[in-house]
Amino acid sequence: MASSDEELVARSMGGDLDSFNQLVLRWERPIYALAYRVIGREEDARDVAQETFLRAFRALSGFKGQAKFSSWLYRITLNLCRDWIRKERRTPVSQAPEGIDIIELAGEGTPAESIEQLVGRKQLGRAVSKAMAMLPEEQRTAIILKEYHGLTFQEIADMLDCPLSTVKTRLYQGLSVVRKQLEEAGVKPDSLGK
Amino acid sequence: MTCESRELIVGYLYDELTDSERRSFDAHLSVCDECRGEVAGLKATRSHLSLWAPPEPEFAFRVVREQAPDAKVLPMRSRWKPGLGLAAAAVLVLAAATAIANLEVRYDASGLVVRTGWARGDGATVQNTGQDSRAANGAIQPASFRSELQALERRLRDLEISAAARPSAGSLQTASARMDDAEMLRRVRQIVGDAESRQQIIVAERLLEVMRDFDRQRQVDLAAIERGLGTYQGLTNAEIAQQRDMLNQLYRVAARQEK
Repeated sequence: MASSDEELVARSMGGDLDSFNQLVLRWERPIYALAYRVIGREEDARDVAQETFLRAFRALSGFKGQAKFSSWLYRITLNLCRDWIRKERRTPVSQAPEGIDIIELAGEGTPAESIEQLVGRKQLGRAVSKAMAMLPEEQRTAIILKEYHGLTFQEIADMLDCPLSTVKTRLYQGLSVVRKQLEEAGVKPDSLGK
Repeated sequence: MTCESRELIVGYLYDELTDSERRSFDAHLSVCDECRGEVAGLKATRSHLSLWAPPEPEFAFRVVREQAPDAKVLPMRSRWKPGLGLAAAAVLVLAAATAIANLEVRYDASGLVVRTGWARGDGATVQNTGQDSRAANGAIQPASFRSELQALERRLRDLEISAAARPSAGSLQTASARMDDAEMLRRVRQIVGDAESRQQIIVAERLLEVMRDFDRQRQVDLAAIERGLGTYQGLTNAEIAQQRDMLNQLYRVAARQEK
């Protein structure tokens, strides 16, 4: 049976490097995905993910376990992303490739999906990426933490150090802007065929 | 739309309302077209958001214990010097030729020295300036070697003179003189042999050093070649991507014609 995060953290604090690397293995993809969605650059997101784990490792003795280990990692990642945005004076970018590779898509899709549906899905993903890049950082972060990482409103509020109502407002405003952007891009509400 | 209803809509969308809040909001939705439309629109937006997936990179990141500073590996780019591989090969060939031809080529503070043969007299030396500085290092001492040879030559001359001065000497004396000659030759051979041994050790040491340098450089070259192959691999991938683009284009044209 796999060890819990708490167990691995405790062993890591005792100097067990393998336990910490198990945590890395478990959380590297979510952390990278968070960084990628916040800053929008694959290479930089990977660097941020690596730096997150390095910082976590160095600061492990300071982790008291009040929050979940994952929430602690998310907080480190968001701080690094904020530093990156400030340092680079960049706004997050939408890094979707220009063309759509049908052959590659064919390998990704379910057998029931036609190539047209696959292409449509990919184009829609790109439109979402562009719409998200238009959002102010705080709205984008709130949506990412809620939508892709499943945090509760309260967890997001704790992580971003803001009131619960602010989190909900940011979510509402952010979702409304994305909806508008998608409509302007010609995306219909039923475009997923549901 | 009021702030209160915005928060309720968001809570409703993400299913984070209490039971009583949910019941109350459901009742509100049944009579409010605006809120119903808003909820439907935002639900659709949420389903669209699910299509935004980050690319999948290869993860190879693991935390390792810090190594000693002297074990730090510098990037290959900073260590690579084009042409060093060729230079190392040239040095190796030169060293081998030196060993075979018994040639000494040296350039130091005392100038350029080119010597051939084991018994390097002044006649076989091309030296533009200075004296042999290696004597000071104790590696080889041609000055003492030369003085020993000169002493031997003097001794030989003395013997020849004495032999010529005593033509009527008995067979015993002649035998003694012959024995002295033999001893002399034996000593000369020994001196020359010692000098050869010393020289061979020096050449072997040099050769070893050059081979070590060559091996180090070979490793650097191999790394450079690997990088080069990586570049070619990248080019090949680019060609594959081009072919894919062509196929994609063909697919689109075919799809248009079908329509």
